[in-house]
Amino acid sequence: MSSLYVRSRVREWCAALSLPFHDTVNTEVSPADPAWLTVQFINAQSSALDFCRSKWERGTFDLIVLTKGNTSDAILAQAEADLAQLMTRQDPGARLCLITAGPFEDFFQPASARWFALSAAVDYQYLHHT
Amino acid sequence: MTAEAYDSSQVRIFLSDGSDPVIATPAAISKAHPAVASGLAPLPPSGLQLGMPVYAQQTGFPELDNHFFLTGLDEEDETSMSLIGSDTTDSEGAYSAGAELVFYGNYALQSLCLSTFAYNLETPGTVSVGTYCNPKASLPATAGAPGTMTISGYIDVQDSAYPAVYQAVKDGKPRLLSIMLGHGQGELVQVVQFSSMTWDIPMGDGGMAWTATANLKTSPEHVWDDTAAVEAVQSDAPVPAPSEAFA
Repeated sequence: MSSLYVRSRVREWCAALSLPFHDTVNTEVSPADPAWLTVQFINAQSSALDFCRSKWERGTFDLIVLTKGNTSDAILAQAEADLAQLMTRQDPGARLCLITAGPFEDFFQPASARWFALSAAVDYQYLHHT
Repeated sequence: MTAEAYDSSQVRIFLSDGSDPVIATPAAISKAHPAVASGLAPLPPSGLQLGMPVYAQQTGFPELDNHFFLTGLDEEDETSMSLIGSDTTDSEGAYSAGAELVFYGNYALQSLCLSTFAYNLETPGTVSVGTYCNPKASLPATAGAPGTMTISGYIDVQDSAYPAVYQAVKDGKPRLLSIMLGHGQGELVQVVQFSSMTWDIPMGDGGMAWTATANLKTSPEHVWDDTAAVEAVQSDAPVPAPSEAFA
């Protein structure tokens, strides 16, 4: 699981994007927005950086855009614009850095939610001192 | 006693500031375990401090010459110290009036947050002394320089460690590099003279890193207190105290 610092900062950055952001980590939400985004923290590993207890956390989260469908490529364009915007974010303390983002993949959730989702994996690194 | 392995969580690395070493002359050195040097003059600016590495030369004792020891204090005489890690009890040598104990500015140590350090020691070669009778005869060559050492870390000009190493590369002055192992395992001590620095700027993963190479001016030595129990030499706060950057 990603560090709280990473999760907090990513949430903060996502909340400033054009699509409405709803946190879904350990939270049940039912947004009324026709399209919205959220993040899912996939994996994280931490290793020692030096002999002074500095740590290097490297992980991946998914930036997920959800819509009810029938939105053609407009939602993809909006998602890509938001992702590009997210990747420009700079952590003031230079501790968290978004390294790379993959292209969006789309999938349909046929269950009760029936959301059409776009998901892009974002790799990050977080250098910090324990 | 069964040998145990210790982790590196307590490793601390210190570099002196490059000021000229203080060469103290003792009036006497005893035959003891550890040896005691008395009547030292001049003293380092900070006075003698417990655990300061000191390099002995021209003492008349082969057990001491060209080796590092740690400073042990004499509470009743501030010009006297024991050479922790030494044993001259059965020495065939005798105190020489030209004895020198060298303090390499280790009263002004800078703590370094290194990611790696490595030794590249020279191995003495051989010199062919072949003759027609024995064409393959050879003798060990005279030992040359001890070798080199490389240390690596991450660029942080706001921290005091990176500028200290960079300054050491630029001025090329000999410095004491001490690697305290923690867990009461003593320290690795050597005098180094930095010669170059390179940088590694990754595009994406990883931090911006540096690597500095130094020539070893003395052979690296592992010194520890061989008269104390392990618990007695353990210390959370190395002597001298670490820099603010380390806190």
